[in-house]
Amino acid sequence: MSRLNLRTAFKRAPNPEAPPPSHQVCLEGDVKQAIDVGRTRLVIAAALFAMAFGAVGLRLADVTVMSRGGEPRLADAPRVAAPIQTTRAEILDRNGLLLATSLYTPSLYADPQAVIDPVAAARALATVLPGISEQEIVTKLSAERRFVWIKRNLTPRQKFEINRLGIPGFYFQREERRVYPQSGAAAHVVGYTDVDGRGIAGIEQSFDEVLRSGGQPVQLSLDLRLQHIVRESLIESMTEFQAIGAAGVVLDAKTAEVLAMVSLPDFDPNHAGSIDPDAQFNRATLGVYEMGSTFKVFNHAMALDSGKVRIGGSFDATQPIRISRFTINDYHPEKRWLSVAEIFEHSSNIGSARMAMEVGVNGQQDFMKKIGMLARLPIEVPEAGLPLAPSPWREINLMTISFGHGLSVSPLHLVSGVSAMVNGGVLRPVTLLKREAGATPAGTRVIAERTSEQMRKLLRLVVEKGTGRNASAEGYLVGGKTGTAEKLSGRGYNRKARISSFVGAFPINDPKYIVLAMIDEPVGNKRTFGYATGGWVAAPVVKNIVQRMAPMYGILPVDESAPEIRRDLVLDIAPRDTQNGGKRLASY
Amino acid sequence: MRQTFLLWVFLVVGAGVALFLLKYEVQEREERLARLNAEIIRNQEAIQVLRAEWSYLNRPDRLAELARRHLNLVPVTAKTLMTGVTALPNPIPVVTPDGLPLRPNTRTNPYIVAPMEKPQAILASGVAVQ
Repeated sequence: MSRLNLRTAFKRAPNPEAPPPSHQVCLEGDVKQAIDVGRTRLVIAAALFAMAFGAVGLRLADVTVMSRGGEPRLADAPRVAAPIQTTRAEILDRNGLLLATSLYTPSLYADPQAVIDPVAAARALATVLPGISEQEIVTKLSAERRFVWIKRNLTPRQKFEINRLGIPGFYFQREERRVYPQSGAAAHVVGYTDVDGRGIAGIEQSFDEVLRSGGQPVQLSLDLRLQHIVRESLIESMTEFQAIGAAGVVLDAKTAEVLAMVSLPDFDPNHAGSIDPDAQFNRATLGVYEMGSTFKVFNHAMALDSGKVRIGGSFDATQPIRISRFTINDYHPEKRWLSVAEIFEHSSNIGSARMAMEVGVNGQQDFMKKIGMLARLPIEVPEAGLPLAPSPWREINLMTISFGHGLSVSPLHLVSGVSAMVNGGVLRPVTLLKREAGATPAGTRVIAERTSEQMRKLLRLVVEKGTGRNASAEGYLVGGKTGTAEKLSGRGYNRKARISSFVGAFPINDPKYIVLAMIDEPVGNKRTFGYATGGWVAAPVVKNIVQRMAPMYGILPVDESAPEIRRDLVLDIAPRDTQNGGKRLASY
Repeated sequence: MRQTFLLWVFLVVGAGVALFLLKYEVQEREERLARLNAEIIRNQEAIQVLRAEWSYLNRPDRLAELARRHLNLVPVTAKTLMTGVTALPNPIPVVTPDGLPLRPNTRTNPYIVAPMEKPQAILASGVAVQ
C-alpha cells in the first residue's frame, strides 16, 4: 500500500466557489479501495452503535416516560421493612392485654483489655446498674479474657445511662428475652420458656410451634381483671386459714371458656430459673383430688336423670351404712329420713350413697364417663391431670364416689362437669383460648333439661338454707355446693388435712358463670369457730369473687325475694310421693 | 457538520450529567429507604417495649392500689347499684317560699328548679361560714 498523506486526503477544498467535487480527494487504485473498505466498516460499526444507543434511548424513554407515567395508582411500598423479627409471638388475654411478649434487650459486655481505669469504670457503672456491686464489676474487669458479660438484659433507660457515661471498652449485645409483664398473675396458664426460648410449661409449651413461627399472637380466654380478683380472694383466704395452697377457676357456663384460673402458690415466670417445684405445680388442672361433697352435684344429677329417683323421694339416713370394714357416716347427722332435696341441703353421705345404689355400679361408671370424669381434660395446657378411678369399680366405690371419695379429679374437671349440670345439661369442651363472639361449640347432652333445672333449684337451696349460706352474694342469686374432703395420707385419711371447696353458679336462674374455690389444708380459726369446712372457708371466697365480678360483667342484682324469682327457684323440700316402698315421713 | 458535531457533544455531555445526577439521586433515595426501614424497625421495637411497659403498668393489682390511694371511690356493691326507675327516691315536692305548691308548667318547660327551702349555713372544715 502506498503512503497516504492524510492531511491532504481530508483537507477541505481550498476554493469555496469551486463546485463541490463528489470526492475531495481523488485516489486511484489500491488506496481508494482500502479507504472504501475502511469507510464501509465504519458505517457498519456506526450503524450498530447507533442501533444500540437507539435501543437504550428507546428503553429509557419507555421506562421513564411511557410506562407508569404520573403517580402510581396503587400506593406500593417498595421493600417494606420486614415486620419486627421477634422469634416468639405474643400471648394476650381476652381483652388484648399482654401476658407474654418478646423484647430485644441490650446486654452489656466489656473487653477488659480496652478498659483504661477499671476501678473508676466500675464505680460509675455501679451507680447505674442496680443489683451488681462495684466490687463484682472490678473482679469481672480484672479477667484475662477479651470478653466478659457485665449484665444481661438491661432496660432501655439503663442502656441510655451507660451510653451517657461514655466509658470505653464497654459494648452492647442485642439479645431476645421473653417478658411477662403481669408477672405471677396467670403464671400457671401462660407457663414460661427456658433460656433458649423454648416453651417448657403451660401455653408456652403446648403452643410452642405456633408461637415460634412468630405469626399471630395467641389470645387466651382469660380475663386478667378477673384473674386478679380470684387470685386476691384466694390469697386472702389462704392467709387467714394458713393453708398450704389454693385453686380457683371461673368458667363461662355458656361457652365453656375459662375466664380465670389460679393456682396458689404461684411464681414469677420472669425468673423461671428459681421456681419452687411446689409453686410450679398447677393445682387447678394437674392436681387430682378427691373432691368430697361437691361431687354430690353429679350424684344427684345422675340419680334424678336416671329416672330411678324422683325429686320428691326420700331415703333413710337414720343409721350409718356399714359395708365390709367401712362405715359411711354423716358430718352433721340428722338421724332421720331425708328427702332428696334435704340430702343435698344437709350434704348427707348416707343419703347420697343410698341414692347411688338405686342407679348401680354400671350406671354410675357410665355417667362419670359421660361427663368426662374418667379421662384427661382436652385442655390446652400440657399440665392436665389424669383422674384416678377405682379399678375394679365395686359397690363400696359406688357408695364413696357418691359423696366424692374414691375418684380423684382435677378442680377443672369439677367445674366443667358442674357447668354441664346447670347450663341445661350440655357438656362442652373447656378451653383456654378465646372463642369468637357468639361461637358456642356444639356440646354433648349429658342430662335432660329438666334434670338441669332441678339441679339449679337444689344448688340454690344449699346457698339459701343449707351448708353454703356463706356464699350468698346478695342480689346475684348464687347457687352452689360445698365440699370438704379429708386428704389421703399413706393408707388412710388424715382428719386434719382437708381440702375445702365450694363450686357455685350464678345467677342460678340462668347460670352465666361457674366459680370454684378450693383451699388446700386450711386451719380453722376463731372467726369460723374452729371449722375449716368448705362452707366456712371456700364459700366466702366465692361470695367475694361473685360480688366483685358481677358489676364488671354487667350482671344486675335482683331482688332475691321477688315472687317471680322465688317461683323459679324454690323447691318443695318435703317428700311428696310414696316412692321407694312407702318409706315416708316416718321420722318427721 | 460542525453544528451537528456540537449538538452531539452537547447531547452526550447532557445525557452523561443527567445520568450521574439520576444515579446520585437514586443512591440517595436508596440510602434514605434503608434509613427509614431501620427507623421503622427501631420504632417497632420501641413500640414493643412500650406495649410491655403499658401492660406492666396496667397490672390490676397496681391499678387497684392506685385507685385506693388516689380516688375517692369504693367498689360497686349490689346495694349501691340502681337497677331501674322505680329504685329512684321520691322527688322533692316543689314549694314556693310562701308555702304554695308550684305547678310545673308542662306547656313551656316541665322541669322547674325547686327553690331552696331555707337558706343554710355552709359547713367548711367543721366551721360554719356566714
